[in-house]
Amino acid sequence: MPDNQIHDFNPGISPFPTGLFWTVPIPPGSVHIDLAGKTASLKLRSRKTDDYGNVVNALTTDEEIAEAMIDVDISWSGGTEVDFSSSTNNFSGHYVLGAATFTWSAKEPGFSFTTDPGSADFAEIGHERNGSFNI
Amino acid sequence: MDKHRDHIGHPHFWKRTLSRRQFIGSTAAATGAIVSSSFWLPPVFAAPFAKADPQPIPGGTLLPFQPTPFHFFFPTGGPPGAQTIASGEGDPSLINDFNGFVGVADVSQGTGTDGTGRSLLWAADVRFMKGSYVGAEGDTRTGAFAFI
Repeated sequence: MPDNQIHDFNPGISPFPTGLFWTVPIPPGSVHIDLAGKTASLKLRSRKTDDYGNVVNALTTDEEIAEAMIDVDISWSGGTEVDFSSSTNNFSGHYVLGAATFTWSAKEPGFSFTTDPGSADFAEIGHERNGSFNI
Repeated sequence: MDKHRDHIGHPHFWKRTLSRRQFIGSTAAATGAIVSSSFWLPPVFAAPFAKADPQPIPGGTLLPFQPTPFHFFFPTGGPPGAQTIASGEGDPSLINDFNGFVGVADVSQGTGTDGTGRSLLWAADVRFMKGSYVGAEGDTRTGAFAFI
C-alpha cells in the first residue's frame, strides 16, 4: 500500500461495492462531441464529489474524509479511427484514439489544488453500443 | 494504441492502480502538512439518480478488495491480465445498456500546485457518456454522465 497519496476524489460506488462505479449524472451541455471532426470537450464546474484520502479507503470502506468540489476541462482532438468489439464484454463501437488536453482542480475545506495544464497519456472518443443495444 | 501495451501486466500493481484515479500525492506522507483556511462553495449540479438509475456494465476488473470485479476497465495497465480499453477488450462505458458517445482521458502523472504553493503529483481517469440508456425501471432514457 502506498503511503504518499493524500487525496482521492471520486463520487463513490452506488451501491457500494458492486454498483455503478464512480459515475454521476452531469448536465448534457457539459459534453460536446463531433466524432466526424474528431473533437470533443467536457467541462464540469463545481461538481460535488467526495475525497476518500486514498484509493484503498475508497474501495474498501466507502467512507469519505471530506466533501469537495471539482472543476474539469478536457478537450479531445485528432487521432486514428478504429472499430472495437468484444463478445465477452458485449460492446462494439467506432472510436478515435487521439490526444486530449486536461486541466483539473479541487476545493475542499482546508485544501485546494489546481493542475498545471497537461496532456492525457491515453485519449479516446467514440460512439458505442453495449448490453441490450449491442445487436 | 500499441505504445500502451507495455503497461499490461505492469509489476507495480499499486502504482498502476493509483495512476488510474484522481489522486494527489507527495513524495512523502503529508499528514499535517497542509495549512490553509477552510472554505466551501454550494453545489451547482449534484442531481441524484432516483428512478433513472443507469445500470453498471456487467464486466470489469478484479482487484484484491473483493471477490467480484469492480465494474470498470482501466484505460491501460491495471493488474496482470486485465482487459483494457486501449486493447479494445475493455468497455470505456461504465453504464450498461448504453447507446451513445463516450470519451476517455487518462493522465498517469501530472503536476500541480495546492493552495499553499506546494507542488504535488496527480493522476486522473475522466470519462463522459452521453446518449441513451436503459434505466433501473427498464425504460429507455437519455442523459449525460461523467466518470470522475
